[in-house]
Amino acid sequence: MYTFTWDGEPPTVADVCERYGLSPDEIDAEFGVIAIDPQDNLYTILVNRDAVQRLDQTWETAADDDITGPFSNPPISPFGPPEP
Amino acid sequence: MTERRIILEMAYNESLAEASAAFAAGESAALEAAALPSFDTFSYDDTYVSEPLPNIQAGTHPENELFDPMANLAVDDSPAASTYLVRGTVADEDMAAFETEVNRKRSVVGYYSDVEIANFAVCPGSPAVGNDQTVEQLLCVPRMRQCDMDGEGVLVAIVDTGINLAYLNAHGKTPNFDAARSWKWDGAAPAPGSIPVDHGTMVAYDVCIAAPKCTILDIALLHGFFPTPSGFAGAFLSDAVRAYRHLLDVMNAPRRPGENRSLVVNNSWGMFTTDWDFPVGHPGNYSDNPNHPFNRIVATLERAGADIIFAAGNCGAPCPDGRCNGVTTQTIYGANSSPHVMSVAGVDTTKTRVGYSSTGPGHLEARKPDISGYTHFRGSGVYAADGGTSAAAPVVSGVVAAIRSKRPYDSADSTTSPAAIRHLVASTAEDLGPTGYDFQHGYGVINGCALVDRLCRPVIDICSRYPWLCRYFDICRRYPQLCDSIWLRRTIGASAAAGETASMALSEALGSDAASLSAEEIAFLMGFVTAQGATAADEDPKPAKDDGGCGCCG
Repeated sequence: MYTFTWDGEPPTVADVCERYGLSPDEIDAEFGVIAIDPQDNLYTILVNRDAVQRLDQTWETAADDDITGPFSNPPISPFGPPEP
Repeated sequence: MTERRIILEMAYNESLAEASAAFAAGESAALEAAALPSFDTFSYDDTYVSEPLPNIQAGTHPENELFDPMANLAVDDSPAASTYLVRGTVADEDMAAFETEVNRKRSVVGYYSDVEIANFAVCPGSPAVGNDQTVEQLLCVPRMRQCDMDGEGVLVAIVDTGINLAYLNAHGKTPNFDAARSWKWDGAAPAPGSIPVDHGTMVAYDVCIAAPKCTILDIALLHGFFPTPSGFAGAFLSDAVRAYRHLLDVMNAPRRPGENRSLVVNNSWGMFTTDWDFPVGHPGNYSDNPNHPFNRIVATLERAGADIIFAAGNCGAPCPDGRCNGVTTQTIYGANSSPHVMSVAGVDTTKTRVGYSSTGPGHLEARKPDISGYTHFRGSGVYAADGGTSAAAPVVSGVVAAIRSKRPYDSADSTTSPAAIRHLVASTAEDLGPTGYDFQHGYGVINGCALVDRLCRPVIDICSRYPWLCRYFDICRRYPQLCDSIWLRRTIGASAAAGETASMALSEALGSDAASLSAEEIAFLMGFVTAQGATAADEDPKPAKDDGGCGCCG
């Protein structure tokens, strides 16, 4: 997952792809663009694992400081019943 | 001054043998009449004396010992040959003097340390301790229902494997259910409310212990055919971000008739091990990073007014879940340790911490867990025991939903904020373990009885008791605050602090109507309301609005 800020109307997947140079198969369209903190205009997207390295390099050279990530996406499980 | 508990083994005497028999018959103060040596340093516990201990001596046929150890013992169980145990205490600083003293008492055969013993901890696989009726009684659920603390009008989102409503109904739980505002991880998944019986159904059952009339939203996040490293049902944290986005929409949407603005969100899941995460210090880490997208959206949902409850986890010592990879310290990670949630540890129905309940400090906020909930009891029937902090969390969520029936969320009233509810639950908890907050139990076990006392204040039925006060006007209907013992206490207290007399405050409250009452009636009413106000015990600054009738003179 990556997070970024976006002023104005909530962005679409296409908006995000255009701004950050993502191809449609690199972003999870079903996940979409999720507002995680509307107060700060903060959004998150889910990016294809294979694309992370390329995007990191791209964004690093572009000095895009309003996008942050990647954030871990660990598996989660129920806490019960406990197993020996 | 600390004391040591000591056992004395006493030689036979007739009165001691009689005391032993009386104690065995259920007479708790059996030792009082027994003839026992007096001590300067030892205080007897007169509620205890053992049954006779037979005299056992070495026998005369040592050659038999190889085949039967008991064959070489001579046992004499006659009363006169037997000894008896009594117990008591010695101050630490008197121990040396006690040993000198006790060695001079010929009737004392021996003395021993009386060490404290405890049950073994409930561990994974242990049998259930009590059942859901036990939990109901411990939570004072009958009293909750009497004052309409039952979850009615409150949405409870169960973020889990999905629930099976038919199973719940067949097992006596009939909450309201809202399919339209439920959510599932995938369009092809079974419909919410009709998901095969699993963990989520157990969680829903346990919410209904204290909140039988809540409205359940099935947020089917975790799914059985997800390939987690452990092989159990699960999902990725990004799926949880999607689920929480949906809950934000639910929280911000207008409510339906009969519903209040409250939303309780139960989460009996988490990350078992940091092996599944980026390392601490990595900017994308989840466990310790408040800026992780999931931790951010949890904070956003709480800010919108939702009460978010997370299980603390099952990685506590001495018997952690096998999926914890043996790590048992500081295992409350990420959102489970967020300052914006209530993190729930587990105790069994004897109020003993279960041996697998994760302990603090938490990773995002140190003071985790917040509270303990009951777990490892026979309940839903989905498993042999409704166990894990997975069950403790929904027990607490149900109580929070019950609170919300009485104190619904109102964005304009800070006393109804999620933080205020967390404070209410913590401040009424029954302290367990070391005095005050501790990392095993949080502030203690959730205390439904104290919450009823706090939220359901006694109403003074002034009119039915004193109908003559309504001779001139319906005093109760016009001045309902007179029925509110808390309002009275505070009003009287405030007027006294301002240097006014209580009767002046009452006269002001009654306004021109006060002229209709005689001086004697005013004086009587003043004495009455002052007495009632003084007996009230509550810290809630708000007058009750719906605590029942004051009565009406008609």
